[in-house]
Amino acid sequence: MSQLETEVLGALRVALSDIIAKSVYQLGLSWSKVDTHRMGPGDGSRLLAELEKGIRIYARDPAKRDACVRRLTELLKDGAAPRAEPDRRLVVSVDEESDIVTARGMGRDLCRELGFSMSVQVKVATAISELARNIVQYAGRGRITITALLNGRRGIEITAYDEGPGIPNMDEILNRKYRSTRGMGMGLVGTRNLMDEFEVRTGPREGTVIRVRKYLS
Amino acid sequence: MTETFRIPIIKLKDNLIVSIQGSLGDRLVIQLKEDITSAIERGGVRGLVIDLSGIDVMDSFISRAIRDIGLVARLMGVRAVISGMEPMVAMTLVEMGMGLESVKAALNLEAALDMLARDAPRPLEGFGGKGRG
Repeated sequence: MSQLETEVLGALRVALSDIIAKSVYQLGLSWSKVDTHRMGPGDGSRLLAELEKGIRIYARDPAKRDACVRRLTELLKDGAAPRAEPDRRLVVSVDEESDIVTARGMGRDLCRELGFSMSVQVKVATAISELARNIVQYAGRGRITITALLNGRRGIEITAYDEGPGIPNMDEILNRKYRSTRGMGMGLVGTRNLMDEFEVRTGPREGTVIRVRKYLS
Repeated sequence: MTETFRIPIIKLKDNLIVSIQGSLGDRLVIQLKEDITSAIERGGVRGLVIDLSGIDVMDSFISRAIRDIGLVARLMGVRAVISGMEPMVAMTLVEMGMGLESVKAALNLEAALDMLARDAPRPLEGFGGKGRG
């Protein structure tokens, strides 16, 4: 084991369990084609970019995640090889009502950073609130990813995933022929009205994935 | 938020005032409905103001909860008014297609209380021999 390898694994364990840290590291090496025994210019940044993807997916605690990324940046930054600005992605696991507030706060902050107007910030936060509440009420648990779209048309993308029972009457809901007793029909139609793009995939065995986008212009 | 947190209900003369802040969950909504209905049941209440100035994001669940509380109050003979909705929140609700049409609205708490005082049924006149003379 190289000295660097030991340090990188140590940094990953700040935010990830041992087994996940090892997998993220191995995948990072194979995707970035970096050999920690022979580091060339730009290798550090490439490896860092791959590791960061894994951390963003698996780290549950935002504070630990950020600490982990900071430490890895110290270890791997070599100042060389500028790379294209990657789409920035935040992942929030949604298990209880307080996660709804966390998710929409993160979405709102990202909107502000991207330069969305106040009124669009509120719309995006409301859409996230709807999607997160659907997860809590109907599936019990799931996750939401919030992505800053930085390449091509700039904007924000929100994807809600759950492995719940699926939404059997999606067409009725979206055609406004159905209203649940808890207001879900209005929530999904409302979300569609607020966003520029709205896409659903749902089924009894696959759960539900809803992806929405709002563009900056 | 602790387990025992509940939304405070203020009684001012014959009105109840509730200020909703931040986010409502299932449990808080149920608790609030119970608290409001039992306060109304105790008597002496003619109006209810639900102040929303502390809400920066209002989704369909919260708007439905507020509408329900207004309707329940009305069924118990109490007039309900919502107040203080943020402009961005109002625009978002309209764009979503949720107008909260069934509940009266006022610009702020003061206007809501004025509205309730103005619309209050006046005591019947001409029955006690006390003419306008």
